[in-house]
Amino acid sequence: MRKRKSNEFLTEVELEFMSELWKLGEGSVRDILASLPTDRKLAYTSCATIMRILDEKGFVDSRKEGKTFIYTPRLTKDTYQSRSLRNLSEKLFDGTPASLVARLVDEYELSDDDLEEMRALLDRRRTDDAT
Amino acid sequence: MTLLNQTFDIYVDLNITLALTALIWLAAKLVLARLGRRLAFNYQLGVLNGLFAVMVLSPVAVAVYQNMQMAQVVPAAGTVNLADYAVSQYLRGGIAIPAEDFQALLGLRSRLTDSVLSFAPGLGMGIVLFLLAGFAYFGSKLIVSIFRLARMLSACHTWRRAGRLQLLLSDSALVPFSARGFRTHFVVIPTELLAKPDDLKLVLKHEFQHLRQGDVTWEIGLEALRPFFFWNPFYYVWKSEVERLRELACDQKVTDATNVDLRSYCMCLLRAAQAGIRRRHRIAGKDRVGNVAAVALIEVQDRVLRRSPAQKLRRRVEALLEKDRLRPHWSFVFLAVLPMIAIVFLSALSIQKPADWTQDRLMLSTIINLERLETINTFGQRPLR
Repeated sequence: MRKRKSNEFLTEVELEFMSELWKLGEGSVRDILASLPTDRKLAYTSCATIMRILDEKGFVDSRKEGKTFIYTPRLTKDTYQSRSLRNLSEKLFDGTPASLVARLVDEYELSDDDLEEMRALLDRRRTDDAT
Repeated sequence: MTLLNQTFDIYVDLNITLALTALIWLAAKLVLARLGRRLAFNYQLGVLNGLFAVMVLSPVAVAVYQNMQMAQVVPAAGTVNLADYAVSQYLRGGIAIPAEDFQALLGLRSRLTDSVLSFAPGLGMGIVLFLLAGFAYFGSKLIVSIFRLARMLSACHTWRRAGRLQLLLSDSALVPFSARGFRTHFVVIPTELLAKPDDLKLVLKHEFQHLRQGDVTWEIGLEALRPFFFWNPFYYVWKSEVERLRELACDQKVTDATNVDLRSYCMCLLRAAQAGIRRRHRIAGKDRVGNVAAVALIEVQDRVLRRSPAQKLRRRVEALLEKDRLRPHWSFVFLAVLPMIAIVFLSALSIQKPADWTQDRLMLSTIINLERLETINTFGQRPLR
């Protein structure tokens, strides 16, 4: 059995591959290669290596179908988003999510609809907490 | 003479020889620059490494020579000794200071050695504590760096293996680098580079060239000597010259290949620097490998009293654009280096303690005694009006 190397986070290129795999649900190296933008000139072997690393890190599961490995994500995109945000909040915003949100609101030009959606989200959370 | 005395003498000799070797190298560089001749960087690196090996081996060469002299294999007239030369110059009137002061100057090293080895309070003890503290600090720093490097290598993902070479992929490496174990050589590549096949090819060529040049082994050797030479400024001069030349030599060798485009290579260096700086900010402080026992593609970390990474990168690109460097046959280079090796060896030989009392030394001692007698004899005399 291949040795698992624990790493909670993805590098840029790994994230790109995981994003494609999340979209596909499951797929082989060729499926992922095909779903990448056409200007991405990646060698098959490089893609296979990246998928192997994702397997070693425990982000995907692999099974063999004939001669091909089929990869399935082991965690959902939402779970990874939460993990990354928590990490960002802890490391860069001193564990205060409020300042993270404040920076987000300051930096991005949010439309009225976006703000309304956020307000609704907060109201829902407050109602959930109260009950 | 005790073993401790001998060891300390060799240590002092090595430090002096290192300083002299560095000065010889800098002088040779200056002469070449004045003559407008620019030697290819791999030749310069070869000469630099060769001189360093000669310097490190100089105590052995001196010991062998002295033994041969004792066994009368080489004539005694072949002895070169700086102290003896200075005494003969003094007796010929070339040095105009009182005899007693001159004797004190000649005995300075012996007195310092004695005071250090006897832990004499004051200067002797101060020097001992300084050397021990420096050795402990730089030695522990070296060990920590090696452990950190080993931990980083074990956290990498194996990409390929070929004989004694392993290509590893790392999430935390700022830039590609080469390292080695006892038998295995490692080339570590940031995972992101897999997505840039053109850069990957150039980076691998660069790192393989480092391995071919034996740069990692030299780096380990130099770093292992840091705890001993930490106080010697010439060690840092030497190290900086090696670091500069090994990258330039590597760049030159890679771009000499017909299938490597110079512009693409320069752009690859720039992109590697950019990516390294970006990663440096992202993983600040975490799992960072020091500069020990590894040779990186490019420097992205500022270091005290050193040129900034940006300046170094600029110099590398400028050097790559220079053409028509001299590439003589290695035998010519060896012939040109031979006088330099001879000077290093003679310098190492000349700073040895004189083995015996020479005629000149006896004469100097007589002069000192006569001067003392004269002082004593003039006590009873009336001062001249």
